[in-house]
Amino acid sequence: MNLRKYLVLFALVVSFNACAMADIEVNTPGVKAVEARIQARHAQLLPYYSSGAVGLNMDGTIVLRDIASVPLAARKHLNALVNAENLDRDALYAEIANANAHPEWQSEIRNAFAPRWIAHAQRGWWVMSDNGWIQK
Amino acid sequence: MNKVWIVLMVFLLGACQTVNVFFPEASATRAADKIIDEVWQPVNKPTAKESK
Repeated sequence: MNLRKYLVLFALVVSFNACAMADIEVNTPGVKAVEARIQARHAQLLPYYSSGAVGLNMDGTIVLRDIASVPLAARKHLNALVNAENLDRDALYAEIANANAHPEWQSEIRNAFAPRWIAHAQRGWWVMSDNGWIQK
Repeated sequence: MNKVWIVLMVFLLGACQTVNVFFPEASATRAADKIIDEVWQPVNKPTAKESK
């Protein structure tokens, strides 16, 4: 009787631990592929983050905030870079949501990422806040 | 007595499924930190050193 009780208790603890470990899955080929694209593009975007031409939005996207500071010849390229980066970030959130079999989580994942991009931004980069643009 | 345990186990396992339906916020934040580190780190690190 007592042994049985302990066995049941043990099963309870094990099953509860198993469900407490509901971790987000990010190690899928789809996620890695988008990560690689974002990583490759970062080197090109970095000078524009530093100059303030591009800033980090509060919604997990980046935005052209000071196009005037960019030489005319580079503007078209930068525009394409920003658009591609935002598309890839959306793709990243979608890929993670799909990898976890919850496509509807995409916006929650975006909300989880948004403040973290800003937190990881280097000193000198411009980030959007409730009170407008601020320089980190 | 045994019945109580069985009912409790069924209840907790049911609760477990409910938990999985909710978005794992803390885990998502950790995943975000890891990914952002990865995609920004190679270029960020040397720049961070320069600015010191």
